[in-house]
Amino acid sequence: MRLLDRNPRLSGLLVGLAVLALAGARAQAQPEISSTEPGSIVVYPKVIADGTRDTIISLTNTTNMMAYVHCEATNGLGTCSNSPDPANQIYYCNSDEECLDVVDPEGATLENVGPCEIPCPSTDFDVVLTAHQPTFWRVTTGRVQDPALASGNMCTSIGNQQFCPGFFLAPVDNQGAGGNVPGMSGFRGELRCFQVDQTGALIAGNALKGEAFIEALGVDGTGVGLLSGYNSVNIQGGEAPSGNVANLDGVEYARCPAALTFNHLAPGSADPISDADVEVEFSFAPCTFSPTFATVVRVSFNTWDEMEIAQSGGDQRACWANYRGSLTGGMIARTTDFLRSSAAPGQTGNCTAGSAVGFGCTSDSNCGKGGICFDNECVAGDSTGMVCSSAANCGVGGVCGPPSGILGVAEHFYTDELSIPGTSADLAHQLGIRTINDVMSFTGGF
Amino acid sequence: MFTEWKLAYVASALSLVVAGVTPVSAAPDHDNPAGILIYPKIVVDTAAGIDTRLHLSNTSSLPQMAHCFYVNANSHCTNTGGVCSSFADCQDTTTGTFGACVPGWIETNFDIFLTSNQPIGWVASEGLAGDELPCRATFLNPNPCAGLGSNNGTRIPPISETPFIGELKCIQADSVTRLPLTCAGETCRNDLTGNAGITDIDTTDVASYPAAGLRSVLNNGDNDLIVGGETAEYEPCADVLVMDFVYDGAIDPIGSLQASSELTLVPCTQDFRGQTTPPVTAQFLVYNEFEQRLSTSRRVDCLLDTPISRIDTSQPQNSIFSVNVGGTIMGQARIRGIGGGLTGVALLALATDYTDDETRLGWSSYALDTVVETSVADTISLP
Repeated sequence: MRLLDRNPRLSGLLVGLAVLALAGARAQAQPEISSTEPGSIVVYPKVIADGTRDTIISLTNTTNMMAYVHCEATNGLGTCSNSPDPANQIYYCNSDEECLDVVDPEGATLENVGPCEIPCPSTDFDVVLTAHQPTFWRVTTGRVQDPALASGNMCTSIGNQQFCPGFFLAPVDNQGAGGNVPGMSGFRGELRCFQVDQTGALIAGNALKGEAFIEALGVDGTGVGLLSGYNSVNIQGGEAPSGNVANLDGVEYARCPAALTFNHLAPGSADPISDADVEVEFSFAPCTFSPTFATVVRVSFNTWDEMEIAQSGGDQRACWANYRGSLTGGMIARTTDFLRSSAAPGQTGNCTAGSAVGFGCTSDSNCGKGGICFDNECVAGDSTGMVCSSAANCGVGGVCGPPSGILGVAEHFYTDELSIPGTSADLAHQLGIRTINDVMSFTGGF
Repeated sequence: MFTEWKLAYVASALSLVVAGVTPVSAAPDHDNPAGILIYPKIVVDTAAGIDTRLHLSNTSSLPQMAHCFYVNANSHCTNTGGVCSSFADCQDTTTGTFGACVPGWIETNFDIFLTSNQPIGWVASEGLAGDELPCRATFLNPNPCAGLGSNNGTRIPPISETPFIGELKCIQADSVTRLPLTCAGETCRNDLTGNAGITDIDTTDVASYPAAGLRSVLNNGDNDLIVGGETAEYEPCADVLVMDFVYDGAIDPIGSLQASSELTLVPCTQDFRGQTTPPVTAQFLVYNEFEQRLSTSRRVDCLLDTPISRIDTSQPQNSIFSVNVGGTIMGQARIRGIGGGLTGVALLALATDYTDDETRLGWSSYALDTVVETSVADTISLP
């Protein structure tokens, strides 16, 4: 060290070499995940169309080439399986806890009504964007393909479909589906769109960006027009992706973040400006995606308040996680008004294949997709999407894949004495890059 | 005369050039902790019930310090000294004469000391100081919080006047020199994240956005911060900002309300030492859903905050950002800064009459996407 201290040229040279090495690493053109640079896969981690709010999805081609896009929408909304009157009143849920204290049609409180069944259906469709073309659709109605609807200042709704001015192409795919972006109702989940070529194979065009605007419908005459908006998460492509399997390995596509961090107000606090009551909701989409199984989203939370007091906890949900701050088991209890939370993917694995038949169970949901629990034993269902530490945990033919990375958004709700909830949404900041690869796959295409 | 450090710094910079790479090519991002945070839009108007909540976090397990600058971009009347947006606001009621409305640019700087992992927040109109600081060390209680450090030395002033439109910029700095520490590559500190929420008290709705971050990649510790270019100390500002927008006056496809948007742009080059900022011309290419292209340009002196349909005209219905002209609901604007880089934020509002703020029902803001093509250097000069 003394030599370095005495010889600035040598120390400069060494620093230079170190930087050279760093520059060399950067020169590999590492793809990144960004909310402000275009990408080849765009993810909207929170999309709502549940009868109280609806979402406008905007999607833009930032290049001067045509962009072909294949989208997969996953509904993470479940229903309480033992709802007292499922034909007339559906009890939506994201977890078993939300099925507690359901009120029956006579007004009596029914405890332990669950479990919350979340089948995680996914819907796919295709969109074509011309050079630099912006487009959008409303999630509940979707948008009907019309290559040349005349100019205008508003969309036209016919039934549950919407036609809007502009050049809009949502072609019929090679399986005969399409012709529009399908409408989705009873939907709380996530949307991801892949840039592909004319054959439906993945390409790293890095042309896509977007935003989501969640708008209150004014149910009961209050709150109409209240907006939460956020930028899409754009996953950049790197070298030669192909087919319909996207490897988020830092080469084909950017790796997902090692952890996320949110700046947010404390649930239960008062907004420092409007004095409205604050509630916070965190939504997470898994980085790993397949239309054939539901990826379990496992999240490990750490929260710091302004006094540096930390709290931690963890939880898991099927295919899409949505936590209200007050439902996180004290993870984000109020200590000071301004908080910072980090959320990291859980460490346990994810069954990507296998049968749950023969497993012990206490409810159908213990038996995975299509599960039936009879006499404390699974008689039907597969274990995909279940937690595992080895293939044996996944039953016959089981495969235990790695835990999935996560992408997320936080949404604030501000409720004043008139019970009109103002809202705002913020994407998570990223902390580091995962060392584990995620994989996204899809079927269909052009 | 070269000091030892300067030699080392030059060697480091040369090594980047020899490597044959643009030193940094990533655009300012809103996704990762950074060494410079830019909050492009701070709005306070107590008469209209609007204020801004600010949130700044240290993601490091070590205490950190941020040297921050409020930029007051209000215009003022030459006769009354009042805040104005046009000469019509400058009538002297005693004489009946009008003064001129002159653009202004006034900075106020202050320090924020953050303990490890600490989030801190304040309201722009109120500031944060004294007993309100969450971790205030005293002689009897030198470690008031759970981890390392305290907030002593922090005094966040309230914004200087209301109504207020301006910007906040925070630079991670050494607690003694108030300048960034010398560093190279991974030794550079990038620990700050931030968010702002513009609150409408009447609707309780909040338009929140993440602060834009510029990550430090190399630093010689002086008070000229080079943003982008061949000898970049920070990642560059964007050459092109991409804004998706709903045309002003378009009918929202969900609630059938009228949509309008605001755009805020801030030049990346700023001279806090000389209290000047060179003008940048923002060139707009606007595409509608038919891929039809229109263009305009507008000078950005120190901060541009405007309804989009007033960027190119005083008659919004004739603007290229008006649905009357655009002909579709959604558009894309590519904004190129000529003479320097730009950062900014967009805001979408829904109202029963988009020309009347009083009828606004909700709003939301979002970040502009960034494209870096040539990595032009900007400079932030600190006092």
